[in-house]
Amino acid sequence: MSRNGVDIGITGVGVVSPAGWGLPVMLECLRSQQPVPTIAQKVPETGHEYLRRPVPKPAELNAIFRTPRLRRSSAVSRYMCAAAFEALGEHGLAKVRSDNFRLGIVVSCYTGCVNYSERFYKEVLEDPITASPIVFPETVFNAPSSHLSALLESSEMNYTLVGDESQFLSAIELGINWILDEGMDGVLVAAGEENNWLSAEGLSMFREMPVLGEGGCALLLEPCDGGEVRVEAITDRLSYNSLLSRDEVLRSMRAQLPDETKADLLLESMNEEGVWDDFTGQKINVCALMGEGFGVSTAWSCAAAAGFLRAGDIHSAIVSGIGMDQSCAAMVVSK
Amino acid sequence: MGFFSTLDRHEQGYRVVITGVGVITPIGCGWSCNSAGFRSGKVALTPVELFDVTRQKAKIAGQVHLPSHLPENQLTLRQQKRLDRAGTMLLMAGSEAFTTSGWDLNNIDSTLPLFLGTSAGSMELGEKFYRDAVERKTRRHQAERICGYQTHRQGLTLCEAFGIQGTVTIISNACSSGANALGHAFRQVQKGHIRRAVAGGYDALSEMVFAGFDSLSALSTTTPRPFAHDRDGLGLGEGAALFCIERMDDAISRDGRIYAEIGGYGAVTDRHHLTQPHPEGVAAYQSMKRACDEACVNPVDIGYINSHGTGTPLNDSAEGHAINRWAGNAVKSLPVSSTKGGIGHLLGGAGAVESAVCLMAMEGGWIPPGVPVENVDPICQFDLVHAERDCSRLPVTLTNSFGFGGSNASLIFKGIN
Repeated sequence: MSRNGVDIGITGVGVVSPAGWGLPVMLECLRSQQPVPTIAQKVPETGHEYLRRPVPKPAELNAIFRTPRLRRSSAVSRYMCAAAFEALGEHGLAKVRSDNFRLGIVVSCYTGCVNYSERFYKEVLEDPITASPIVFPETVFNAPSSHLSALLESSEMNYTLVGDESQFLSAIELGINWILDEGMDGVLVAAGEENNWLSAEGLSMFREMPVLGEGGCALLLEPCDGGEVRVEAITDRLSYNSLLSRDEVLRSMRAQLPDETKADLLLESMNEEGVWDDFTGQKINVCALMGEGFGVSTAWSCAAAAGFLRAGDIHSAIVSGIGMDQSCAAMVVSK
Repeated sequence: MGFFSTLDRHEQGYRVVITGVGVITPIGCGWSCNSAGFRSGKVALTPVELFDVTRQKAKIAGQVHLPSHLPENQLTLRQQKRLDRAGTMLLMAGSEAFTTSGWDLNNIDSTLPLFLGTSAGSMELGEKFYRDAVERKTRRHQAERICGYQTHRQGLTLCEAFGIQGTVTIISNACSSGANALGHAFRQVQKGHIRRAVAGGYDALSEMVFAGFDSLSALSTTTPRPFAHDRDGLGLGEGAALFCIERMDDAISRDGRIYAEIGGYGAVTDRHHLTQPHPEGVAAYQSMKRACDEACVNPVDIGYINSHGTGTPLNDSAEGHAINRWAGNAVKSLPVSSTKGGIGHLLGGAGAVESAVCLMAMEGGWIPPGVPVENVDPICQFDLVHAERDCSRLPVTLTNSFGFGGSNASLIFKGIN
């Protein structure tokens, strides 16, 4: 499906996940259907314990982490930047850094830089006069996107969107609109989340013994003329509210998808509630294997869909971005 | 519907107008009292009462006095009780925006998208959640706090309060969030993706954010005085502004009140540093230029600039450089002021409230004065307005919002004859 005769493709994919650094290790994990081992993390502050699937330490330190911008940055910034560099590759990096390439950046996140936020607020409660001026800037929602712009040398538009598991799909739609409406040559859409006991504490109010995941993901969107993974359709992001039942909202979302039964693969979230029960193709729940990654979960699903399409494993996939308590959306991709 | 949603695409883009405005600031609640306050250059910074600042360097901020009663809405009493400061301000601004728009919310033909800019969202609830968790208190209110803390929830509550079915988009680009949200909504209507939208920005004061700016020594320990040679920082504030925007032809056909046309939107990223602008305001220059190019106006056409003008040494200098370069020969007669000296820096709410200030000035025919400055920074080659001033006509205004992290946005408003 195209708009105004232009197809938008996912031309680059990068992933940091509990499975490791890079898209191939995540795809391998998803193919094997073996969940990443969990770690029980004790929280001294509360006496509680929570389960997490952390990102493993990289085999070697990525050179970009030594740049001044990332030296003191949060984990979430590092995950996103590493994913972005993988998505672009050397050739893509040179291309987007050139003067004649307009690169927009859209970041989607849910909990943001929660570790530094916790650390900074703890310092404030102890004594604000000694609270760290180095930590505070990294707590701001758009710090990761700022680092991305700096490292990719882009002065073009840069938005940070805050929302649940459905948000990443809206971020892709925004990226597509920037290419079609604003004349961007490409848009990098990224997401990232990091483990923290506050997120676990919050999630545990709604789910028994949740397992947290963390990491980053980046997709490069560009106009394409065939051969690439194409974005076929994205539904509206439909909000849950008291005016409609959640069931009605989910049904509306499905009703917007064209020819959904043709998809070979469904990438699910943790909040499906039977909405895809009649889907007959293969299903993969990324969160069940990687842990609940909040805003990055759907990004991983998109990356996985693109990865399987590139590998020729499937022809078409649906990514379901059903958020826990805000909204839902879905996307169809094919090759 | 998403990717396929372009309505009746118009190659040139639709003209987009503002037909409803709601605003709440430390000056007061509503268009009239804010208009009077901004016209006279009222200063509404007071000693901080919302949290303890005895161990912080700065002691004042612009605090909103919330009214004792909410405007008519459809929230349950329980939902109303759960509203935090930010959510309450959003509801106040929304009520006024919808009322002034003349929109019949019961008969809007489709969903009404909501684009909100915020930097801290409901930090107040996040802080309470953290404190109760570490103090190992009862978890009684923790679930509702974690729901309310999610920025999205405030937007959804606004929708529920007025019975609208809308998709909520939260843009968190730090201090330019409000301008980005309005600019983004403008672009969505202009390009035909939607017919109308509600957009704006908000932020409430919070202990953590106050301490953050204080730790950076960005807050004034005396009096915030943007563009003064001896300025020593900004004052924080809180507030909200929301706008109802729609296609001009729709507004005209229903005989709606038009406050102004949104003529142009420029958004550029400053890559210089996470917390410091490029010294010569390169991105600020670009964002003003892009907005003007889109609006087909030149600096000489601009009747007033509501500058970002935080009052920090680095921001005002960079913005001054950018305005001088952008305006060129027109700079000396270009009226510029910063209203942050009067109400503080509203962070995610700043770009939206300052857009509302531009509309007030255009309607009333006056320039909003900044706080009096004895020793003006020599960077100000422009006409820095710091006393009450009327003008017969103000057809075009520009507002700048330059955010932490390098997010820069400029908006142009044009009067409609």
